[in-house]
Amino acid sequence: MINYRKPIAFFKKDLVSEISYQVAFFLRIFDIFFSVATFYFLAKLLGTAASPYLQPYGGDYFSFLLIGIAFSNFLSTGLESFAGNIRIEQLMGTLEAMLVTPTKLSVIVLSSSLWNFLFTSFSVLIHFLIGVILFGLDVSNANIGAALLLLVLTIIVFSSIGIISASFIMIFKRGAPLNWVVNQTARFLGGVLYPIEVLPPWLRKLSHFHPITYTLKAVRHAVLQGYSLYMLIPEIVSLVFFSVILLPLSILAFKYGVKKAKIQGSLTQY
Amino acid sequence: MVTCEERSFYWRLTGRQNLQFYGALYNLKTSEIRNRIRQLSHLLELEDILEQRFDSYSTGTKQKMAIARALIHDPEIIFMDEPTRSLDPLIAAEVRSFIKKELVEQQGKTIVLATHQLQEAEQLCDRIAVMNRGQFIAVGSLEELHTAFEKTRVCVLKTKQPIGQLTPLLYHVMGSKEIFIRQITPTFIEIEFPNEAIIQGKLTDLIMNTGVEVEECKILEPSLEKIFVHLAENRMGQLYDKL
Repeated sequence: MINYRKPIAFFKKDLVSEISYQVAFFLRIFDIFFSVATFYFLAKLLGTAASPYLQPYGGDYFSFLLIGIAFSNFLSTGLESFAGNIRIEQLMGTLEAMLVTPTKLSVIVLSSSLWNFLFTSFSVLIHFLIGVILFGLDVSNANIGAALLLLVLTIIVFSSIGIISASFIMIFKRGAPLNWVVNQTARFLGGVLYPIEVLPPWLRKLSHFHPITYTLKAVRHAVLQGYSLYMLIPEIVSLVFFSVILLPLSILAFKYGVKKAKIQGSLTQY
Repeated sequence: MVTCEERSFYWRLTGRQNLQFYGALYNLKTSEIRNRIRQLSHLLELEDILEQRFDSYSTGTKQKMAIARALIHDPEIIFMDEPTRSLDPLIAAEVRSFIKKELVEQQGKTIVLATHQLQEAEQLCDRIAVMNRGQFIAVGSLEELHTAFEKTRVCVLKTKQPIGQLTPLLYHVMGSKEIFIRQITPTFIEIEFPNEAIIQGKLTDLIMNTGVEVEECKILEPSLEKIFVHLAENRMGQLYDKL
């Protein structure tokens, strides 16, 4: 039977900690407003110049950009939260105190990231609310169910990469080259800021090796044009394929990382 | 486990919130955590500060919190890593008294205490394991260690003028197998010798008859610190086998 008390305890602890930094907490919310406003006026500047490339996504750059930036937050959270939270607990000295309790390291790693994912979900929701209420974002055709399924698959894929990265840091203590590569290539090749159709053909081929490409394409179709699950099958199958490869790999990498760190006696060192 | 590492708490949470979090990690239910916090805060006199943030606590209070956290799930065995380090003498004495009287004598808990303060080990421990360079070099009760150590005694000799030729004379007469001399200053030496009355008598006679003006000459009662130093210097390594 799953013990829900521990993840809830982690969430409560992180929520209280975050709120204790009151100014920073509200600034993060205000930051979203200024980001969305910036996207809106940037899109207004471009006008219809990019329309040929945006036609597959409804033709509006503001909508295209908002979804790209909002959902790429999940990419960052998935990649960085696991390794980042372990490192924070190591620096704070609290990891050792947690490991003394009858709590598996996997529970600690996953539960530590719960707040990050929930806050990211909250911030994405705020992005959309501001977009809809203040800047006329049209999501009346949105297929929420499909969007949520895509979100779950995206979290699985990027969390797997994040856990592999965390395993790396557990052994070597510094550096997350995998995260850097995935993050940078996402922005460049994944369709976050511009459609991949803008890229030359040889770069466009590389885009298809990045899971964010499928996420953003499918989410845009689902939210802006109301595509059904059937119509999104190619992207869903691609994301499932990435999940099937990366999830078991991440579990193996994590087990190896923990075993190695325990042998070295370096689990709580940073 | 109790450590003196105050960083192992969340400083922006209150004492209560910290204990609630760790209580959950020990698989305790909410009601159990609530009851245990009430009991422990009363026992450790933390009631007045539990709603304050951890970063506002004094060092002594932080250490009490570490003890409260270790006790939240009512374990039978507790590991304590230097629980009185960085505490002022008054608070350190309170903590030691709490460990001895409340945890061990009242509650019957087993404490495994790691400490560099040998007086603390002498005061608190029923059995002592001496480690040097990661190895156990002696294990036993304090009585057993004293008995083993008392196979040699130490004579402290302070003179009014530099000891000079006294040291080689002592070695010449007594023999280097029977005594070991540690020179602390030119007028202060320690002489370790087998705990035999004849040898002690011979030694004191020799010192008195050398003509050196003696300021102080006394046979020391062995302390755990002396036992440790001598064990670590491998003077008594063979005693480990005999304990």
